[in-house]
Amino acid sequence: MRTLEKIDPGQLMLLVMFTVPSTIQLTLPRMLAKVAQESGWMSALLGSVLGFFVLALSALVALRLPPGPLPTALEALLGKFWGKAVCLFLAVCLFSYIPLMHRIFGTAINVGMMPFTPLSVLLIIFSINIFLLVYLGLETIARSAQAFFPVLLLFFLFVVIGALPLMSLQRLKPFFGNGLWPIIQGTSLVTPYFGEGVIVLALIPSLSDQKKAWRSIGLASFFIGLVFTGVTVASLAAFGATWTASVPYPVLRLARNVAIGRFIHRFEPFFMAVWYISVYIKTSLLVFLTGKLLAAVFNQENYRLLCAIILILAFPLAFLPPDQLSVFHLQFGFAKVVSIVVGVVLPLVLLPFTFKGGVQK
Amino acid sequence: MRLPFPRRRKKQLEDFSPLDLSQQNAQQRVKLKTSAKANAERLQELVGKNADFHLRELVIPTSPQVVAQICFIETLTDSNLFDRQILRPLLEREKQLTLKELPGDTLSKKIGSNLIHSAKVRELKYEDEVLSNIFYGGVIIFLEGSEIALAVGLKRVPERGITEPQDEAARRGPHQGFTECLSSNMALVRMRLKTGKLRFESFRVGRLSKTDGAVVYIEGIANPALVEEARRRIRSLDVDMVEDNSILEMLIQDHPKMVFPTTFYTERPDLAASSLAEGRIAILLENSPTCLIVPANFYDFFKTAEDNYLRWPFTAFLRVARILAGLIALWAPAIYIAITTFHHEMLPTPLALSIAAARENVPFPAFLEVFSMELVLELVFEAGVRLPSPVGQTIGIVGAVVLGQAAVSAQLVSPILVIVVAISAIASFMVPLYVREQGVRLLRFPVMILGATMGLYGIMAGMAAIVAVQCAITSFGQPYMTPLAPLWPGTLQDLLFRSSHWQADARPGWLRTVDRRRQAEIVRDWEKDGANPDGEVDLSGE
Repeated sequence: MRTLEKIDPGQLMLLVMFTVPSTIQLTLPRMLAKVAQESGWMSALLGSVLGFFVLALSALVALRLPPGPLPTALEALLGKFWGKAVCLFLAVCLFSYIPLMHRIFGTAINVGMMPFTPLSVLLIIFSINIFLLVYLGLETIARSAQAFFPVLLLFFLFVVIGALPLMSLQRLKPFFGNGLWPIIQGTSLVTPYFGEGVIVLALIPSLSDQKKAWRSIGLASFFIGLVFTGVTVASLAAFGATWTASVPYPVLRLARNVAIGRFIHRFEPFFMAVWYISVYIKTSLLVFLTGKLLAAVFNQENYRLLCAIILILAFPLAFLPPDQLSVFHLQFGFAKVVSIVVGVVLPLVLLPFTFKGGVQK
Repeated sequence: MRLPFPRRRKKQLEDFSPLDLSQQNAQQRVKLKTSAKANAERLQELVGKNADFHLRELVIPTSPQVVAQICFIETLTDSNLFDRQILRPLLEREKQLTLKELPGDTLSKKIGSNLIHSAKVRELKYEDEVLSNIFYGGVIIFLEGSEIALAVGLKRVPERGITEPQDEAARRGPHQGFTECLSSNMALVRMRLKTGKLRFESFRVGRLSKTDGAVVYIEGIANPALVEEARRRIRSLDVDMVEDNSILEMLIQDHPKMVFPTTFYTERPDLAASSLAEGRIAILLENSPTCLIVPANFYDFFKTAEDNYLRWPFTAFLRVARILAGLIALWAPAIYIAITTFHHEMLPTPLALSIAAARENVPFPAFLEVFSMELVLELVFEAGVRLPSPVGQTIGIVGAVVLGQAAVSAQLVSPILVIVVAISAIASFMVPLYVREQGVRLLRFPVMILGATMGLYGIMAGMAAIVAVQCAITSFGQPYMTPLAPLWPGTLQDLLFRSSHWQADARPGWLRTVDRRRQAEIVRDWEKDGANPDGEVDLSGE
C-alpha cells in the first residue's frame, strides 16, 4: 500500500455497502426471527442505526490519521514497530474473514444453486475469479462494484416486489409482543457486523475527495439498514416468525416463491447469482487489503503474490467447519467477535493517538 | 492499470523514426551536390531499376540558361498537371527572362517561386528528403549549380467517388462516407466544422508504406494531454507498413490483445465531426475509408450516427434495445444450456415438459446441440461474406431454412434451440459496430462452456471476470466503463437516454474538455424572448 490507487466517494460507499451485509444477509432474518420473533425487523432497524456509529468510529480514525497510505500513516502515528504491529493485527483479522466467506459462499451455492457440484470445485472457481479482480487492483474492484450495482439493485427490488403478493403485514404483529429485551438482543446480531466496515481505515486514504467521506459513510449505513430491514420485513411478512426461524436461508425461500407468470418461477438461482456478486466483491476487497497490509509489513513490493498465497491458505481453512451448523456458529459467533475487535476496539484504541498526534511526539 | 500481459521492451524515442525521414540524425543525412546530373544519377541509383521512374534533362531558356534534371515516377504523378505547371512554364516563354531580374536570393528560389506554377513547391537539401518526396508523387527538379532541389507536389491518387457508408447506413442524416483518399476525407470533415480551431496535424508512418495521416482535433475543446498522447503514440511507431486504420488502431490502442475494442471507428464524416465537437480526437489515414475516434468507452459501441437524427424517445428506446441485444447475444445460449442442464426447477412444469419432449429424440446433450448450431451459424456468416452478394443471399436461405429446418426434422436439434440460436444471432447483429459484434460472437463460446459445466454459477463467474477486465481496461488512459464505472453523473443520462439537442448543454464530462459547454443555456431562445412564446403563426392575414 505504498502507492495509492484513487477511489471516489461513490465507490467508497458501494464498497462499504458490498462489504457489511453479505456475511449475514441470507441468514439474518432467520436469526432475528429466532431471537425477537415478529419484532425482528425492529432489531434490524435499530441495529443498523447503531451500526452507523460503529462505521463512523472507523471513519473518524481514518480521517484523523496522518496523510498517506494506512501502513505509512500508522507508522507515522505509532512509530515503526507499533505501526507494523497494528497493520499485522489488522491483516490477520481481515484474513480470518476470508476462509469464512469462502465457506459461507460455497455452502449457500451448494444449497441454493448447485447441489451436486463439489464444494471444492465451487471454491476453486471463486478463488480464480477473486484473484483476477485482486490482480487488477483497487480501482478495478471499486469499478466492478459500480458496474454491478444497478444489476444488483434491479434483482433485489425484483425479488422484494415479486414477493409482495406473498406478504401480509398481519404476520408482523404483535409489535413489541415479547417486550423490548428480545429486540435489543436482536440488535446485537446486527450492529457488530458494521465492524467489518473497518475497511474504511484502509480505503479513506485512497479517497480522491476526503471531504465527502462522511456523506459516503452515512449513505452506506442507510442502504445497509435498508437491506437488513427490507429482507427481514419481507421474510417475516411472507412466512411468519416461526417458519422464518426454521428455514436456513429465508431470503432464498422468498426468491423461490417469485414467478413471472407461468414462464419462469423459482428465482433463487438468479438471487444466488446476485448474492455471488456481493460476496465476490467483498472477498476480493478483503484479500486485496490483507495482501497490501502484509506487503507493507514485510516490505514487499509485489502484493499480488501475497494475495495468491492468502487465497491458497484460505482454501483448506474453508473446509474446517464440518457442517452447515458449524458455519452458522462461526458466522454469528467468531465473525461477530472479530468484527467487534477490529471494528470497535481497534478504532477506540487508535482514536486517542490521533488526537494526541501520535506516540512519536 | 496493468493487465496480466507481458510488456514489450521500451523503445528509445530518439532512435530512427519512420514518421519523417528528415527526423534522422543530422550526421547520418547526406546533402545534395551542386551537380544536377550527379544528383539525378544518385537518385536513380537509390530508386533502382523501375520502369515508371523517369529522368529528363532540360534547359531552361533564361539568361543565362539553366540546366535542370527532372525526375518523377510516372505512376504517381499527374501528367496533365506536370505539363501545365512545370513543363510549359519552364520551356514556353515569349521573351527570355534574365535570371538576375527575377526576385529571390538563390537559384532555387528564383526558379521555384517565379517559373513554376504550383503552390506545392518545396526546397530539399538532403537525399532522404528527395527520396521521400518522389515516392509521394513529387516531381524533383535538380538545378545545375545549386545544392537545393525543388520538389513539386503533383500526386495523382487513384480515387473512388464518395459513396454511402456500407456498415453504417442510416435512414436519416447524410449519406456520405469516407473514402481512401486522405485529402477528400479531410475535406469531408472540414466542410462540417468550418472553424479555424479545427486542426489537422499530419504524420507519416511506415518505413516502407510511408502512409500519410492526420490527427484531427478542435483546439480549445479537446484536452491537450489527450492530443499529446495521440501524437506520442503515433510518433513512437516503428513498423514497415500501416495498410489501414485498423492496423494503426492495433498499434496505438491501450490493450491490443483484448477482444474488446478500445478505439471507436466510423465510416461517417458526420459522426467524426460530432465526436470532434465532443472533444475527442479523430485519426485519418491514407488508403483507409474509416476514421479512428479516441478515446472510446464501452457504451460508444452501442451508439450509431443515426441516433443524432432521430427523435430522442426513439433513440432512447433503440439504445436500450441494443444493449439488451448485446446481453442476449452473449448470454442467451449459455443460459439456455444452464437451465436445461442444471436448473430445470426454474421452469414451470408444463414448459419444462414441453422442452423435454422436444429434446426427447435429440441424441446430443444441450451443450453440443447449441455449440454445433452456433458453429454452423458462424460458417454461414463467413460464407455469406466471402461470396458475391447475389449468391450470399442464397447462402442465408440455405443456412436458415434448409439447415435449420432439416436439422429439426432429422431430430439433430430441438426446435426451441433453433429459436434460441436465431434470437442470439439476430441480437448480435443489433450491436452497431462490427468489432464489438465480433467480440460478442467470440466470447459466446467460452461462456457456453461455463454454462454447460457450472450452470448459472459458471455464467456468473464468467460475467464477473468479463466485467472485471472491462473495468480494468482503458482507452487512451480513460476508464473503459466510464461514465458508469467510475461514475460521471452528468454524462450518465446520455448513456441510455440521449438527451434532446436543446438540453445537451455540456460535453461529456469524462473527456475533461477545455471548453465544457456545448451550447448556450437556452438554445430555443425564440420560446423565451417573450415576443411569441407559443410560436403561434396566424396565416389568415387578419
